[in-house]
Amino acid sequence: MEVTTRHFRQSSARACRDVNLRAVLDHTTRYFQSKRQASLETFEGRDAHFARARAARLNALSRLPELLEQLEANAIAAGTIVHWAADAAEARAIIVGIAKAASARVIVKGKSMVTEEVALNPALEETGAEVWETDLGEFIVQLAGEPPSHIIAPAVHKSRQDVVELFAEKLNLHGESIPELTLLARRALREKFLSADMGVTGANMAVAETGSVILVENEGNIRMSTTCPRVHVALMSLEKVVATMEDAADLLRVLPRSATGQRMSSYVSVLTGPRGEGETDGAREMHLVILDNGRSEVLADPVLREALACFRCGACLNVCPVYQTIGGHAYGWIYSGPIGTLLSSLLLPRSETRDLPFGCTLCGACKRTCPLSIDHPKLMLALRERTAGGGGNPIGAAHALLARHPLAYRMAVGAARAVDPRLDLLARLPGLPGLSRFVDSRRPPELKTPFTARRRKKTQKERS
Amino acid sequence: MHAHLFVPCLVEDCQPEAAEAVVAVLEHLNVEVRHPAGQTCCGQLAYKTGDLKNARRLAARYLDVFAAPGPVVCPSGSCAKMVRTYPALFAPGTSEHSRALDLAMRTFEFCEFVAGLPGADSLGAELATRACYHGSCQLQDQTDDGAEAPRKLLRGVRGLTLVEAERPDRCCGFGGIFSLQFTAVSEALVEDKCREILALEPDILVSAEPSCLMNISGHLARLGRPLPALHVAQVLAAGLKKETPPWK
Amino acid sequence: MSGAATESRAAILATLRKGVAAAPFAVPAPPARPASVSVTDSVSGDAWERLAAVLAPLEVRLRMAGTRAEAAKHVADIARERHASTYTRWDTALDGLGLDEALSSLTRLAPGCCQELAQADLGLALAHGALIESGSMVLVAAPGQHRAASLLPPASVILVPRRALLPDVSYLPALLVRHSVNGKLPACLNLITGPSSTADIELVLVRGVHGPGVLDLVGLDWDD
Repeated sequence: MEVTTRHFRQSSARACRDVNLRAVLDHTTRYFQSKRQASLETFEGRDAHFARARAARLNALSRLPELLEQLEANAIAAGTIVHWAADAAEARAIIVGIAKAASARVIVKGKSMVTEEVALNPALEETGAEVWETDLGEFIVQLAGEPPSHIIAPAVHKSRQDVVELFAEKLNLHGESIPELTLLARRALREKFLSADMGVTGANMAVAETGSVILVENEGNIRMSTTCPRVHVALMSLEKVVATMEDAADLLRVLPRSATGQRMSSYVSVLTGPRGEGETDGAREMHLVILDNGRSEVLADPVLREALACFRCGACLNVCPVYQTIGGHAYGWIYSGPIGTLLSSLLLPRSETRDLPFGCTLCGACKRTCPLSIDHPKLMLALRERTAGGGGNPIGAAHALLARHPLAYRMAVGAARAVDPRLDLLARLPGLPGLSRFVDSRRPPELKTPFTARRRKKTQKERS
Repeated sequence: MHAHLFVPCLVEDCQPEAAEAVVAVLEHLNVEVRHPAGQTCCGQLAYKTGDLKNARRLAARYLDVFAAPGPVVCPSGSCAKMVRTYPALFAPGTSEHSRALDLAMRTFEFCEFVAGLPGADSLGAELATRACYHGSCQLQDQTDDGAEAPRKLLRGVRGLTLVEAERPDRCCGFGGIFSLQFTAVSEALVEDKCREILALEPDILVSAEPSCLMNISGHLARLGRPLPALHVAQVLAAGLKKETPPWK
Repeated sequence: MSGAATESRAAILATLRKGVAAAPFAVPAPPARPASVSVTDSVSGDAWERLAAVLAPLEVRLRMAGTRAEAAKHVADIARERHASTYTRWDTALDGLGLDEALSSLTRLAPGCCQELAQADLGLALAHGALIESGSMVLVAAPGQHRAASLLPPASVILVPRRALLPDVSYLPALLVRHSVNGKLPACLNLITGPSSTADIELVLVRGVHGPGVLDLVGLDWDD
């Protein structure tokens, strides 16, 4: 998809004005929050499980090069073909190569953010193959020609009526109720699964000690994509590796609860190599593509690398007041919300993402919600510092200059009080568009007799 | 016992009554209040715009302003939090770093400080009012006791009915520089907050964060539904006098 | 591996090594994993009852069988309720339960390609593990234990031997080891927790989007 992160300010303002979107977001984020909350209330030993999950992720990051080599060796031993992709173009080339070698005419895809990240679909389509997103939400946004708007629920921004019209227009399939529409999608995609030559999925994690890829889902489309077609390709961003199956089990205890409030997602597949001898289904050929795309550079930054600990439960999106207000599309790339702001800033060119870390009130709701205790606000500030590059915002810099000199500071405030005690005029000076907009919707505070003067007067009175 | 009063810039010039109330409550609890000279800004604005150089300079100033030993008390959760961030601004091993650690340890948000004082449980404040408390997100990062302190103090005021908006800890949309750069989002958030507050039909709006008070009350005023916006200290001080002042 | 790919591999690993060396991690030791509630913990109630309680909100029904005949009867009942006329099942693992006799009025489809199995109305498989805490059935694929049996038919039946009962997902590593053959891990292990589901349209829950819409369990409550 086209990267439009540089228009974040404008697109967020546009999203705010979309009344329907606001209603959908309100409903969605409340829904996920209440599911999650209910599930966590009955989660025995929650804090210990969260801490173990965090340790599993951080431990993996701390041993990343070694674990990736171990993963590679064990995956190869299990019969998986392993590829390394430095960037999106390499990942596309590798997977297109696999598709061509397999003469793949129909390709089915499981939901995967990382395949969106490398813009895989258009590249596969160029080979002449049909490419089908098979997660219901992804299928809907694919038909609509839109990117997903939420990590967990890609089509939350679409109403039932939208889907009715979309299915009629694009598939000539007619249904009204949500179960009917779901059944139509099942039938349409069932055909594709059965005729597919290749299945492409992401990977929720990969286990170094066994060479396994673990996939977590609710619909069964990922199981279909890995069971029916001859070839299975898993595209994994490199930070998703964990050291042991024990670590993976610890993460599985936390991920579904935090994402959807389920004790376990409907389907978890632990895939270790292609089908064994004598088996009648499962891919005959399994590929694991390990993708970097800018992540390895982040590992040297002691603060920002914490973003790589994320396992994409999406909980931070649902609690973020900004995400709740503008939704996923306004962020301008596939990743949205607090973690999306961090990932986009780390993976895209800096010139494209200057505004992203400022689109955050630093309220910390994300940090308090994250099961892995990722300190999003701290990382947001580190990114702001990187963007500011020593300088700051002009208003902030002027304020800081004055604040370093108390006399000048007092004189400036005194002067302001003399000409504009209600602060209505100063805020409207040209060159401060944000400030004038601010005072349009908030009556500015009055400049009163300062506390210091009041206190001095009071002490003098008491003395005399 | 004595304490040094740290007056946030917004309070100094726009809500001086809050600082006066802090003095009244502390003195009522037999704390001698000192007010170190030379206070301007703790560096929060610079820090949050990514301007670490200026944040560091202002932090270094405050290490001097508050060099004298003894607790530092501030009627703002976010400013107190900024001082707790100071150690991260200086390299470990430097004298600034150790002074920053010391200052961070002895800096308290007003409510958390008062709640820990002897006599806080029996302040004897009394005020017949329906108060909507806004629990600023900036106080959430404190210990649970710190985040709960304002509620605890307000519950101790006889006659006061404490109500909280539907999503009490949700951000009001201010976020400093955020409100200037993402004006539409900021406005949408303060609209949400005001709607939820007005639904409770309170007499007053109370918070321990002056910037939230400014943001929310400013929008309420533009809506034509103004509410007295008070710092927790102002409510306590009024309650100690047992009279409702003509809130401004 | 092509030349370019080898190059990328080396470059990625080198950057990662440099990163770890530049800023070594300090990973605090995690707390101990909270103890699992054991299967035989009578204080928490009967294991089967606990499993049934976890599965109830997922609309999964657990029927208990004390004998092979009872199990076969349950399966026949389920087939009737689901209006099934064809079925597919795991081989050896389920032999000896008399299932084919109980389903003699139905056509059994042999395992093979997905196209054919997609015609089956009912799929029968065996749980190698049943995780009480989450209600997850653990199914290990192997010759005669095809993956499609629990995936393609609209109605899925999983038979759960008493010995399969386990506390929770912390037993996953042990299960994989137990089902390894000559040190080779099974190519596919699935945790199945309830029927296939989606809430992708307006967050309305619908069962059975790509996988089975209904899941029935039969507890085989005897020692073997």
